[in-house]
Amino acid sequence: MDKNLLVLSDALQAKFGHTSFREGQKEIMVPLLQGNHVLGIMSTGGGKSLTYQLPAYLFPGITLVVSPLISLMVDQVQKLQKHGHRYATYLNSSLDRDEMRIVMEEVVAGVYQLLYISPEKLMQPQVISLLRKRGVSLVAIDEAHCISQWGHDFRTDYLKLPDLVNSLGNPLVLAVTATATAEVQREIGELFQILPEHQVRLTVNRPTIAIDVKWVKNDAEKQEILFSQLKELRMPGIVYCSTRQTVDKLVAKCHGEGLHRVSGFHGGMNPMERILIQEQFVQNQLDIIFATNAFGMGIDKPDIRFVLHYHTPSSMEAYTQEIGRIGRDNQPGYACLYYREEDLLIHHRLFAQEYPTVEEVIRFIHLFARNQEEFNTLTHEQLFEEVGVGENVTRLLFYYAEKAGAISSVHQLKNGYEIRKNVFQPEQMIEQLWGIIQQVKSQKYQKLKGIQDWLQGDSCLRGRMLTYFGEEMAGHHVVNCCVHCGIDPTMYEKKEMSVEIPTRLVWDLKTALSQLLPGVTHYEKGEHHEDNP
Amino acid sequence: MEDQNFTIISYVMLTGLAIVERERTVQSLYHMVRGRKASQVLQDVHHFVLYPYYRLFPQLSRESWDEIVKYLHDNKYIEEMNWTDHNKKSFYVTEKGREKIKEVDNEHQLTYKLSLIDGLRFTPKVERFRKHLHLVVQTVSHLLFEDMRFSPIISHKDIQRTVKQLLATPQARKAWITGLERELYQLLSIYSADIQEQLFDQLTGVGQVGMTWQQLAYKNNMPLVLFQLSMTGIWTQVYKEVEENHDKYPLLTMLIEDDSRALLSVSTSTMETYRLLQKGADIQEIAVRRNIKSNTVEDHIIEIALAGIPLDFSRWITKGQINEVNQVSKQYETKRLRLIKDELGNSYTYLQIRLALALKGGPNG
Repeated sequence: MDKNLLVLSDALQAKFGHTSFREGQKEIMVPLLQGNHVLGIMSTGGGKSLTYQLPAYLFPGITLVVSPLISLMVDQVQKLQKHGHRYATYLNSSLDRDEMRIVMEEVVAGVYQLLYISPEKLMQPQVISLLRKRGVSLVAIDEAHCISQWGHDFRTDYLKLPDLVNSLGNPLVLAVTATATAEVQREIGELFQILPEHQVRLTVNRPTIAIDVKWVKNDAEKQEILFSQLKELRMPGIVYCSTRQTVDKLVAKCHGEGLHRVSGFHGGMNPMERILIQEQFVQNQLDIIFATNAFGMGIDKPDIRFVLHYHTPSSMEAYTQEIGRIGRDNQPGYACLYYREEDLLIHHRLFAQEYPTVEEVIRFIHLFARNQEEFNTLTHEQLFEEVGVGENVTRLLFYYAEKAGAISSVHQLKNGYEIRKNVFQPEQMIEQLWGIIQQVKSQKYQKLKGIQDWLQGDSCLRGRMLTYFGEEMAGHHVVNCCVHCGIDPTMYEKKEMSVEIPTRLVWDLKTALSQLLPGVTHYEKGEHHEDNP
Repeated sequence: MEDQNFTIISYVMLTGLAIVERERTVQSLYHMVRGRKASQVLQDVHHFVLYPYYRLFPQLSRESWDEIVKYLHDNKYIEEMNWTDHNKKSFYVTEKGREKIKEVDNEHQLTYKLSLIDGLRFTPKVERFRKHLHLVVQTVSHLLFEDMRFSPIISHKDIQRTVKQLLATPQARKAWITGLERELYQLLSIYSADIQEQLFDQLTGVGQVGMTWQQLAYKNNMPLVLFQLSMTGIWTQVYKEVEENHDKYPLLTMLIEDDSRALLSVSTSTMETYRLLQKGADIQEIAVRRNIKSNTVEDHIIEIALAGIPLDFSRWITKGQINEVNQVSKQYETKRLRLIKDELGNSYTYLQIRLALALKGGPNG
């Protein structure tokens, strides 16, 4: 056996208690240990995180995991701690200044081997210098597709990562993602100089999941199908919707229909509510979650039996990721999308909110174009009142303004931004900036068009899904493949009436408390005993 | 249920509007329920005794607010009116509006529910207490079942750290293991069976994941807003019960945070001004040093007075002056500065009048 593979196998056994790797894991880690940059594309739940969590134990320096979502970092660190791994922590904007200082001190002191970090923290010079002091062996880029402008989830703060990685003293890079088309794969490879032979791609095909589509005429028909399916389908499952309002509406309707073991989940809920709902689902207190795309990342539940799409997701990538949450236990599962062309307009509306209008671009450029000074401070208030854009659109504007050459640097201040402006001709600059933004925006529409075409075609959905991701269907034969090849619906129906968890019949505070905190009952019994000899 | 939430929230706003009618704009209540930390808003909380309304709906969007106001107008519960000494419009609650308030109050006990809430002086502390309690119950439950593999339901690092410290030693763990259930029993048994159950169902531990307020609202067949109002009040009572009876709840008392953070109820800008005032700087100096208007500094001083933060106010106003201003205010049943100033014959500055009212009404008075 290869020396590195042996080291990995031993560590896997010693640290994680597993005796064998899952598909793709050693193909990613062995070249990494040999000192190569690696790109890993494997579906959610395929065991991506192990590919950096395990090497983190083996490298002398610290392993950084760059992750776009705070909740994901917290989640992963908690999961590690839950299983006895004390070598990991996180650094992001959820920490206040003191906590941040403590963590950094501990990092430099060598307390941790694994640090989850947000791109924005990694941009701070003092963080970089402290990390260099500690020594960085590996930078894992989670959700690496976010770096691609052609990806479905482009994030401007990811774009600086190649430079930042270099400034850390050229550590190894491991880019991982669940979904990347061939084009995105090529782009990630180029940005981080990952050789083609070190790019590991697992198939997105999940033969145990049936892909169904229902073409519906209107919302009433949709609801009718939904509720009849919810009464038939084997639980548990997720129903994805594009808007919070729909989530709330459908949950209310469920309660009206006598379905009570259901709950909504969306970004409008507070962190504690979200954790509770997620835990209830994992611990089988709930049968159905109605959710926006905010739900699912990092969720650890192998027995999800169905995912329904009440609305069409914004891209093939999003769709594939969402149905990929079905049946990680490799038992059969059912995906069904309710298609109505008008639903695509929801995304048009959401896209419009994501990007500035031409008027906003004009006002933005004029905000500092006339200024003679090289350095300009633009406050949040100014941006909001004079340009009329919120924080997200602002960041996008700065990013593309830099790219278009209007400014040469941006620094975030407490009450706004400091920019270093270049000399330019305003009208020309507006045209250029608007051009770039339109180009990026049109990518989003193309992604949407991609899933629309996929739904409107009349040949095998699975085959065309694989084609989309640059794979071939050859060799795959799937029973219960898709709506065009034929699905036996009874496969996914409840076999017997589900057993309702017994509800409390009589409320008794003492009994209830003693079930949650049982120790005291013994204590009290003992005490009671002494009082009444 | 959705529509019901909307109408109830509208009626809650109507009760709040009935308090500030003829003296403020409709809009002022929006800033109030959002919990804006602006001086004017904080002063109004004290002046009009709007404690239940402050930060009652921190997430309320401008669009929802506009819809609510439109609904109240369309139903003729409120009417616009001119405001003599301002350019802005004020409003009043119509007879129909008053009847609606009475009717809704009978049905939902809004006044009672609101009376238990204090968004300025309590809700933030109560929220922190509640989170500490949730995490400590979850942790102790897992200790009792000897299964420490769990995901904490509270993700705030500082709260996690506090709970960890509370349970750091074997002695401390033993105390919580053996005493928590008894204290919870004492605490919850004060309530009727249905409230007991609602509170208990929110707790998380082995074999039980806590229910959210939305879920409990469904379970109890109540519109969410109504449930929120009622729960916010109940948790405030729970908090006060522990705070006022340290001896009965030696463990739960440890979950109450130090109150030296009264300063938190003022804006950060005000804090900055406060620091300079303490060093003896005067209003002009502060305005220049901080590059803000002297009016803003005056606003900060009023805010400090209202929040009950100790400061020597005698450099601006004497005890006798405070009394005189308040007598006029009482005599003419108004808190409108212009009227008071005219009545006093222009011998007072606006700062003095505002300060006098603030020091009388606030905890410093």
